[in-house]
Amino acid sequence: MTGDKIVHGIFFSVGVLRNGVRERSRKALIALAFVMVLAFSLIVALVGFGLNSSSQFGSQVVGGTFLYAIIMMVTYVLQKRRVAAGRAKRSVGRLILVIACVGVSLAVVLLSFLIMPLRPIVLLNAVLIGGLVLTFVLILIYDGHPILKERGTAGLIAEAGLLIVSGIVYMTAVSIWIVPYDPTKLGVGPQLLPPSPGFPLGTTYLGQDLLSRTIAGGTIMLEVAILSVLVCFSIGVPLGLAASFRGGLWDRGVCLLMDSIYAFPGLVLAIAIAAMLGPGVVNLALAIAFVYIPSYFRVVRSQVLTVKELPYVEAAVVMGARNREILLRYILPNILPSAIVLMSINFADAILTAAGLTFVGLGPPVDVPDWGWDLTFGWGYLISGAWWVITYPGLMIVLLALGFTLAGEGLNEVLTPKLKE
Amino acid sequence: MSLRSFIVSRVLLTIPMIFVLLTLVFVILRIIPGDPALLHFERGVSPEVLAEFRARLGLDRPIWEQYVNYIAGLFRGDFGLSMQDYSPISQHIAIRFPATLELTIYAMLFAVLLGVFLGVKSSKRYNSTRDVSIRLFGIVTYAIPVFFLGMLLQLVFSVWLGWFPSGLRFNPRYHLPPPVTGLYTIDSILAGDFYAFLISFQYLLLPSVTLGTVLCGIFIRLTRTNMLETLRMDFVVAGEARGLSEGTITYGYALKNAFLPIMTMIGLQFAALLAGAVLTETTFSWPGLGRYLIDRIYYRDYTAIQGTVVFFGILVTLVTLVVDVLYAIIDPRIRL
Amino acid sequence: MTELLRIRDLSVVYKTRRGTAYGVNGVSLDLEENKTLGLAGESGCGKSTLGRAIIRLVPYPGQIASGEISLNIEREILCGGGVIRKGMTNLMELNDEQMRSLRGCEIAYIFQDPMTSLNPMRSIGKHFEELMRAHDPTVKKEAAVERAKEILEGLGISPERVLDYPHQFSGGMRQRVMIGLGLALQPKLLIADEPTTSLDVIVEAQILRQVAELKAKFDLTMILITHNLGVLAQTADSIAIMYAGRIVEVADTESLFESPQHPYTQALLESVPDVSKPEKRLTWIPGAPPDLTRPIPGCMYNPRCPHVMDICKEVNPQLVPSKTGGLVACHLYDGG
Repeated sequence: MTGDKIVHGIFFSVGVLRNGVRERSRKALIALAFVMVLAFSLIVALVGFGLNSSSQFGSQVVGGTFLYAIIMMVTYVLQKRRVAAGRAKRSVGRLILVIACVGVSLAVVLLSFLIMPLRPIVLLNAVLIGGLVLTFVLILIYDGHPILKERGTAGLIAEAGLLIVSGIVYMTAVSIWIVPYDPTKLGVGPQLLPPSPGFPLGTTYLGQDLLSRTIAGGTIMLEVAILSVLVCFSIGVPLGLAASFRGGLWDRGVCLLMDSIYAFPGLVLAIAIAAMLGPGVVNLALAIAFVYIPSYFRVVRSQVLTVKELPYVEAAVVMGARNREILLRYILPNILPSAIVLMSINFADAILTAAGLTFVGLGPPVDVPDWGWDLTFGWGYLISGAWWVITYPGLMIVLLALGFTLAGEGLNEVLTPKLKE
Repeated sequence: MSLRSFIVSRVLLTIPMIFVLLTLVFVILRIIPGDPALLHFERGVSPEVLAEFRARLGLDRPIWEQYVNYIAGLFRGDFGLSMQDYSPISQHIAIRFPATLELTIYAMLFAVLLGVFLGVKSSKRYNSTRDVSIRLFGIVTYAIPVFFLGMLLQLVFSVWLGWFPSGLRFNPRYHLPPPVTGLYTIDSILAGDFYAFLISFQYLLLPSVTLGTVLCGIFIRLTRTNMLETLRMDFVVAGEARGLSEGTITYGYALKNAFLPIMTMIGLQFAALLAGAVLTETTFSWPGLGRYLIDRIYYRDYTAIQGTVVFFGILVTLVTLVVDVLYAIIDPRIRL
Repeated sequence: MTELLRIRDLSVVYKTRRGTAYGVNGVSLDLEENKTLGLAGESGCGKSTLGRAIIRLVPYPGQIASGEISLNIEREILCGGGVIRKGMTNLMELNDEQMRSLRGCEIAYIFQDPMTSLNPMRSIGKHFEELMRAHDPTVKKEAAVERAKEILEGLGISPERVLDYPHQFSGGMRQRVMIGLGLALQPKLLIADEPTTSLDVIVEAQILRQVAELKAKFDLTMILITHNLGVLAQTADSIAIMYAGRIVEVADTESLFESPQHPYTQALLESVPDVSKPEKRLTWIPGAPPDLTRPIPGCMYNPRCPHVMDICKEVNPQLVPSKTGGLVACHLYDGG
């Protein structure tokens, strides 16, 4: 085929870009380079932390992740070569991959029982997530880029976002094992020390190491975000489906309720609810979830109303399909892409709202390391010029929100492409 | 449908919405397990004081009666009494709202000006580095928590450079201009007091820039999309073919089309503006309604919280209503 | 007769996701003063792109890849980008500002669809005023309006209508306004892109007659771009036929219709229904339109040509003098 371009991975040169993308290849390759640099810095940072951690397990955890990724990568390469050489069928190759996945995971669990009797589930999650992300990055290096072939820059943006998010999730999950100092311990260093050797990000007013707090500070935020999005999704989507599908007075009534909730400035309502419910992760999540239910409702409803009118749905009704069938087979697949995009934006909003609520004093308990609290407490010491106490936690919040936003933007273009040019 | 019937139906639709809104706030403020009166007095208090407290605030009445009084009160403009000193909340709102108004107006102005400017620049060179970086800027500014940005600006411009004050609304050593609108900048111009204007502007700058930057992203995107669409239209190309200058084409021809959507978006962003204002006011110690709300939470003044939240809700609803009606008036398609 | 326009090896490419398309592929052309050249071909053959390339307004994502376009400039023009002297000037060497001042002033371009080519928010008078101001910022408003009225009168439109808006005019009148705008500054070259395609035949006849009058009156040189050979038969002195971005035949109008040389020209003329021969069957050209993203080494027409030879698939025929006094690019005639 004329015009097909071979994409050179770093180690091997396999992978082919279809002709059509050639014209954009320069920009796409720059974006690809950006994603790669991002991935590498994440990896290097994590390795660094692992080697320097206070717990003896840091290097083992990070090492475990790498081992996992390398095993998966090798399996992938081997099965690919076998399939290409015709010695095995595609489906068999995939099967081997799945077996390897499960097998190695089990091995990791068993090992974890031997090394660290505590919290094997967390270890498993951490190593799995980190391992899979790392595997993907390695495949990217090896194989050229699968999404480039179809959606180019938009797919890369989504990936950059997902990479950032996975990186932060992994870092938070293994934080106990890779922190150089105990993040909650007071007085491990002098108070308000600027970034210096020994304390690369400085210390807080209470003498806590800021680096450790920055590594471990995402737990609450992630928990709150995940919980609130889950609640929001599980209420908003079915509500939207039911109301728009039923129509009539039901629809009007629920719509009215949703519009009223939507009319409030989100933060104000969340503040009111959180003030009433009291402190705590769950309460925080509920307060945030309540505020965003109307968004899901609206999106789902507008999609359903559009799809309901489409000729092929009418045809199904005429042919006697039952309501449930129509809902599940016709409508649901159409609304899922928008719902997923909304979810990523929702995550970003949840994180920002959680940070805001913490700032006004309605946040989670103070003893757990949290970026929001570091921001709030550190703010008072800005006058004395202690810039590091707020900069790093704040930057992490921005990064996390940015990751979700980028993922949302990219997914938006990938899943719901608009015609251009 | 005609313009008049549209306006009427739209206004009618707002009334049940406000009712639901009020009921919602009422319910939320009572979902706490426990007695609001007791919770307010954290440290324990004598039964006589508690009884008097309850009576004055109407908290000893049955729930449905409290609800009716609440709604009836709002019709009269009575937002309740503060738990702290039984003062009318509407008074507090009246004192503090102009500060929030001033902040939000300038912030929105900044957001629109910056957003439109960047959006135009971005649309002129489609998919260039400039275009991509401006879009990235728009995405990043959305992801920054507004109070974090405020802190950074405080750090750089107040602590390190000392150019701007880091909090408050006016220099306590100078006298305020005579209050006409409650907005210091306008009042000082009306009184001819140029120095007062400078001072109020100086205090206003950092908070408005903070809030405006966080909101500008959506305007960048809107302007850009609109411009891209319009710049491809025939009459624009025909104008170029006649040798009209770039300025005339960009601003006279293309941007005029984006005018209406931008106006609408300003109205739609009003809720987000208020939410951001709450945090901005806290960060910059700006004596507005947002900070009042946060203060009241600290003091567990539940009635004040209720009154303020209701005010916010009604305000947003009315603004949205006005925007919808204005849009209908200006857009000739609905007008017919 | 003096040479007005000289095009050498012009290529315009469109970079799209699916590949690079050659909208115009190595076109060379000469145009004498006061003549009308017709540019004909099917949709997508590149004639509009060629026209737009001459005024350097190729739509995104297209750009002029290579070639020379030289125009014999009549008046010395002083503008922000520098002086443009009289004589043959390569337009590709001018900067943006110089090119802008040429447009409308030395070269006029008239678009196909008069319904969308005028700015709906500006009155007709304002269009003229803007045009004149763009080329001479010292022009006074009253003078511009006077001139506009004169021009409208010359076009057969009542001068009082200078205050009216585009939507108040009919299609034919709008096209006349477009022509008026195009000729207001008395350019030397007029490029008309399908000027009558969207008009009904009666109005079309009126416009064509008017254009012929104006051409004689103002000593215009015209390039008339259309797929309608009938129109060209009436108005053009010579015709160039384009296919797949290349010129395949150039000839005097009479010679072209009497003895077309290129197989494509022959097929085109065959496919036009003839009123005087009602019994003739309608014919069409077999095969599919060419894919401009995959230029083949040989003649682009060879898959559909009834006289195709082996060499046609390998070597692209160049334009050589034909026996009717024009040029033709076909291996049937070049001794190949």
